[in-house]
Amino acid sequence: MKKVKRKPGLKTYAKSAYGFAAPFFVFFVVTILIPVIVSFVFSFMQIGSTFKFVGLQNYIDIFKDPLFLQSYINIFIIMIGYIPITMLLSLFFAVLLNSPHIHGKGFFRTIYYIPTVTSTVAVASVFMTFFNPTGLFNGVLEMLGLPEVQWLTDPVWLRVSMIITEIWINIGYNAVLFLAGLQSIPRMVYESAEIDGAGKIKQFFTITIPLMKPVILMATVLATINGLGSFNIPNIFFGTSNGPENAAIVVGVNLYKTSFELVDFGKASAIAWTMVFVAAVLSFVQFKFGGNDDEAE
Amino acid sequence: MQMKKWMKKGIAVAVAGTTVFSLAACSGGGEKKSEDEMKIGSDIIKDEVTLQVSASKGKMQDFITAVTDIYNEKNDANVSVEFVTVASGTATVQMITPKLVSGEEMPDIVSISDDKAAGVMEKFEDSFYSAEDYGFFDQYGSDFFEQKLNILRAQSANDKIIAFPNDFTAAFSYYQPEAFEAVGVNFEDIKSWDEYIEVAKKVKDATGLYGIALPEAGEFEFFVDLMSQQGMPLVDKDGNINLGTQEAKNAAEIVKKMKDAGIVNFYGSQDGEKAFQECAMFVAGGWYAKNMELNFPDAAGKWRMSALVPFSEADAGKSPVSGGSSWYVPKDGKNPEVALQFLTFISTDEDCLKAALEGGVAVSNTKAYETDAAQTEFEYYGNQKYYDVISSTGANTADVYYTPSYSDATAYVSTASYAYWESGDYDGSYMKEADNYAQKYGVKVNN
Repeated sequence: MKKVKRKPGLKTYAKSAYGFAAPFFVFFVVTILIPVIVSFVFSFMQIGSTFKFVGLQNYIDIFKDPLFLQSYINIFIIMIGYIPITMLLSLFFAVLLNSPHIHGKGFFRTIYYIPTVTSTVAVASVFMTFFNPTGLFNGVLEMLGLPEVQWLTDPVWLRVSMIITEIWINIGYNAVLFLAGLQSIPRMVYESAEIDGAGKIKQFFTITIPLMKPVILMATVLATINGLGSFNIPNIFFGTSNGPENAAIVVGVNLYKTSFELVDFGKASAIAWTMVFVAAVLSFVQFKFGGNDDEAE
Repeated sequence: MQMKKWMKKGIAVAVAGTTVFSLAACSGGGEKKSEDEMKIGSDIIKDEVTLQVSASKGKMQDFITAVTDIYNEKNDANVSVEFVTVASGTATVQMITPKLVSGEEMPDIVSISDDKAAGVMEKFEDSFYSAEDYGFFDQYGSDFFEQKLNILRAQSANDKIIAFPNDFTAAFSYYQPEAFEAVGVNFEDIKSWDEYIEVAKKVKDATGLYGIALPEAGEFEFFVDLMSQQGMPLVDKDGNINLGTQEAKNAAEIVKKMKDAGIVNFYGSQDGEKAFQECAMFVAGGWYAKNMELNFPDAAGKWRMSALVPFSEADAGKSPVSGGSSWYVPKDGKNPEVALQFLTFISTDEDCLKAALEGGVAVSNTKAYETDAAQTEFEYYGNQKYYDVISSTGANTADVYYTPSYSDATAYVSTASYAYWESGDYDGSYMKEADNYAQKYGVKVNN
């Protein structure tokens, strides 16, 4: 009798799938999941040559610090400053890049993406020279006949300087993200709208924005989570100092100081877990209010 | 595709087991030799050993390289050194503390800045061999600057010195004599900061050079130096902050007078050294002397060094401590016995002390300043005997307590200084920040 070669069954496919997924899963467990769990455990302990369980004491102690809340206020102000502007500008550039009239799109995409792949430390160092009293920005202001700004010493302007730097770093990444979203919108939706008499601007607000909502929401949530942990820019600009009127201290720097100046990993872990909680709450709020809109679809 | 139940259980057990294992591994290392088994005076180990030394690049590594040859020659030993290059200060703490937590293998010798070591000692004192228990200070303690030993003593919970003392300098005035001669003044004759401010105004008018350089966003170093001159440390031994004292108010007033007199060269955090070169005088640690020589070779001959301007005509005051580091021997190093013997030798041998001074390392062993190396004239500083200034100021330094919260305290002082410069309101600036600090650490604001 002729032997019939059987096709591999579901069982075989399943084994293959687990096999391919296993390396990433191991990597995820070892480098992300376990450190997260260990950090959570650390937040209830005093870490030294010996470990001592202290319950909620670390959390109580960090809330006793007046600058702990100030560090959150500072980072929220910076995030509220740069995230909306970054999203607007990124969307603007993405729409331009998606335009059939623009030539050399690949070149512009690369240019816009360069800030994303440039070391944040290098960017912050360069921008710091721009913000010097005799730096580029005051030079431009002087040329325009405007008074110079104390970019790094005035409590208001030092936040603006961080906002400007964050916008520059983040525009490219989000523009490329939005561009991918724009390119996934079927052309025929616009063609139908055109036939119905909708102009470009109306098409943008009634088609593009609603259909881009999931991408914009995802980009905003990611920007919020990343922004909360911002460290390089404030650290390069101000080191571990709190800045004039304590306007420069942010949560990420506070966490670093607690870890490596106070050498208190228990409290640093507690600070980290407050960041997780805040990020979760902000993400929930954003998904709740910016979630699926049936009318748009 | 649904995961089978046994797979889910297996993964959960694997994650839980690895987590528990990670935590267990963190809480302690393997067996280490007890301190009773390590005593000074044992026969020098002559086996071929590579000591791993964590130190910053530049004069510290050069010093270790030079003294390794002396050690091997005089002791017929066979030590080679492998460097773990790391910047001093917080970068070193950042490198070693995760290893201390996880019980990983450590370098044999670690150099830690004195102002950063307290935090490490508070949590991990038991992870290091004590130089005092080793017997180092019974034999050589009297050779070291007392203030350096006080700094190290205060790091430990029970006043036991863990580290081998290394370098130690006071804050100096670096000044350009020609700038002061232009207004008919000899810098060394200035009797107080008030007098200095008046002289500096004239120098600025005559030469364009500023009287001092300070960070524009707020500063703490000069303020703390002025407090120290009056015998008042920023924080006391228990971590209470001394910003409510008259000495602190005096210090703030002097800095504000300088600002109001227009003699301060304010700089952004990137170009401090360049700002120094635009001054007739600036204040920096004695350790900076070699750095300036390397970074500004064209300024050779222009500068001299001196103790700080006297605080007042009535009382010149003490010299503030500025900078310093010490050597630590972790218990998780591969060769702690050799490390202890090596450090004992390089901290006390005359040829090693000479090599230190020749390399620009201002060691805290007073015997170094009795060697002929201490009589070296530094061409860069107009043939001045730099080590004369080091040894005279080192013997008259003010008390300082580098508690774990000290670095943070200086951040509060920086913030306060900017507010004070703008408003002149001491309570609304320094006292407000003092209260914030006291609330965070559960300490007092001393008056």
